[in-house]
Amino acid sequence: MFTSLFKALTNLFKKPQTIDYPVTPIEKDKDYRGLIEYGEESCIYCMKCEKACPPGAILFVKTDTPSENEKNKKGLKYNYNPYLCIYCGECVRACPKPEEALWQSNKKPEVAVRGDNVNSDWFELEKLHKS
Amino acid sequence: MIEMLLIFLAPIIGGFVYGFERIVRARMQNRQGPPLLQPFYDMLKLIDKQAFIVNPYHSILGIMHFFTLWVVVAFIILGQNLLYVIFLHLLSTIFLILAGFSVKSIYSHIGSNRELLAMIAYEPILIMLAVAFFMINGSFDISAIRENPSSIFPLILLFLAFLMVIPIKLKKSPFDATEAHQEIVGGVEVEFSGVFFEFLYMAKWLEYFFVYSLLVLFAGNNLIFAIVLALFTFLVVNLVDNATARIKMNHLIKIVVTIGLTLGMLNLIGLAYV
Amino acid sequence: MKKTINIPLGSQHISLLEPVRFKFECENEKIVGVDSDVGFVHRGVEKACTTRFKYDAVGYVVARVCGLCAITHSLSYTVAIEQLLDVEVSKKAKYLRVLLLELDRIHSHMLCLSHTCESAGFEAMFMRIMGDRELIMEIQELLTGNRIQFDYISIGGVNRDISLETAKKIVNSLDIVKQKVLGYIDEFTNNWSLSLKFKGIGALTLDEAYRFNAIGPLARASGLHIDVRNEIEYLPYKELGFKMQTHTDGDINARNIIRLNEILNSLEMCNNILAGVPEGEIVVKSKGKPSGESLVRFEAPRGELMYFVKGNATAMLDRVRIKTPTFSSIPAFSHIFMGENYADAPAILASFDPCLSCTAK
Repeated sequence: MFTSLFKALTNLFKKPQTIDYPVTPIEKDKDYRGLIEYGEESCIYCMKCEKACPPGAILFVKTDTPSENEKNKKGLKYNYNPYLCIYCGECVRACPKPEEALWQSNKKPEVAVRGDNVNSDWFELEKLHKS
Repeated sequence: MIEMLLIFLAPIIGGFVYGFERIVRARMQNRQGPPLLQPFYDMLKLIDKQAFIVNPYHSILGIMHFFTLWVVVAFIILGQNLLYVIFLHLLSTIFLILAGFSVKSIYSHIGSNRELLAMIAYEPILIMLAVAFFMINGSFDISAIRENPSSIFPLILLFLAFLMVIPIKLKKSPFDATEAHQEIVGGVEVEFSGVFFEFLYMAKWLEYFFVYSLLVLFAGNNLIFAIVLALFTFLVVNLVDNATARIKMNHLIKIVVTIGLTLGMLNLIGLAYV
Repeated sequence: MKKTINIPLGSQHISLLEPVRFKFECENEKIVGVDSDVGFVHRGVEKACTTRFKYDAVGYVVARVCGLCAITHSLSYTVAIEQLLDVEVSKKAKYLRVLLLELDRIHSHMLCLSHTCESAGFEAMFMRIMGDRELIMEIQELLTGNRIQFDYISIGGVNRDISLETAKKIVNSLDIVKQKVLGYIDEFTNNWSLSLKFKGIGALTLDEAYRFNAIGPLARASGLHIDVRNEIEYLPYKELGFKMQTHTDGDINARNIIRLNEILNSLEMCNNILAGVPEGEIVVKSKGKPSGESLVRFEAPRGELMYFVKGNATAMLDRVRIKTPTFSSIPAFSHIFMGENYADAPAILASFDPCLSCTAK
């Protein structure tokens, strides 16, 4: 008991170990698993990332305004949902051009609550993708 | 005039002491702690919540517990009879125990049971304290005790016994089995909600006032010694709170009765014959 | 007039980490009858593994069965699939897998110890152990990118490599943790109030442990010498210095001492791994689809974990069956509570280390 008592007494004079987050920001390491980012000019539209993603957070859907890339033969567009993603990095490992077309940054995703309805556009895209 | 002001502001002063103690306790555990005014923010939040009345006797007994304790603090400030103060404090605890037994919740019953057992353990020590002050100062009146010089040296054993009673009253480890929130979910307090819980919360602040006022009686008319004694006890009680676990009711009664009661008896016998 | 009262340690309670319901019949706070109910967190993981996800994504799904032994689930499933696909993993990947498994065991045991102290009323020790656990969480974030759900193991090896400076930082942190754990052993054996609360309470004798089929630290505290790490071949435990820890009393104090000694042994193993990581590549490509049956067992922090996987040469699996350690220990739980005081029930429950998300998958 006396070691605990002594430790409690000395803790009074030390700085606390807790951080005042989010008032004080925290720096994340460069290898932290954050959001997936896309470089459209180097993409070859092989769709390997869409097949590899476990929860299905990447969808290529036909669109009326396709990009100017010559490899985009079927007029598709890349869509990514940061709220379904589990940040495992399987898509980056499956991509044939991992640093130029698809890579993982160390940014943290945004926080949302149910009342924001952030997924209503995504459900429309899923219906378009199935048909 | 100043006494009237002190009586009126007693809960607020108790609230500041409670808030300061939470910060000290957090710093001892290496964390940051809440802001100083946290008890008052809690009060504002509790008033907003829905108050659920289980049965009318339960709520009225809870409110009576708070007001009786406020009357006790008023009597101490005005310098009345010490024995009367101790028995009135016993009455306020009995109100709380009756409130616990008046609902059908099992946790409430166990909490009231434990409160009753703890009362059997510490009441004799408080009564012996009053008798010892009478034997030294010749009267039970608090105003007379406060005008005489400090009596801590003849009463040193009773001071140690009183230090064992303080964790039971303030609900701190190792003797806080009456409000064991990990086992019986708060004991008596579990059925109070909304503004009725606010009355119990304010009663806790007044307990601090009561215990520390009884403590400075040991210092007599020496104001500086009173402040030093209060700060020293505050520090020791919080250090022991952060260094021990909570022990069960049967061990509590054994320890308090064997050590506390024997020290008190020895002191009284010593005062009578020396 | 009834002589007994029913006290619920209900599905929502302050001292529980996860929902489980016990109904105690007590005479004056002494327990005479126990009725238990698990299954409040059932999510249907086994069904989802065979209908919604392909066989290479199931490794991420089963990792989310439990928060604290996530990597053991993921590893067991991957080893079962590797046996069906005939993939030979390189030595470096095996060493890195053992490193993460032991780090996971250290932080899970620290969580259990701090929770036991908190249920006994000693909040200062709870805060202290949790504060020191942060060192381990930072190491895990350096290695894998996340603090709890690692997503580190894939079919054929591991996902990330370890560099030399990371290894040096990890060795420094592990030294600090070792000094602190030695301080905890001193505190747990010498504090008088913890002795009143822990010694002689919640005892499980050797005969009862054998009869009720107890596993994990619960059985080793009673004197039963079982540990899956002693019996498996596909991870190099013997050459890394694994030693089985046992005790004879079987009460809460014995389980705490066993967990502390296991932490020290795991720290030694991690230091041995980091001193000599072999060369090689971290992942080996695999071909084909799984077909056949396979069964693997591993040692999660709470006991023995078993996986049975059956495939039929398509991308969807036929059957995945998971047997978690807490599920096997429930008969032993219900037996220990009889004859104890109700005031000790939260502390006894916390010392078993129940993981209800594993039990009710």
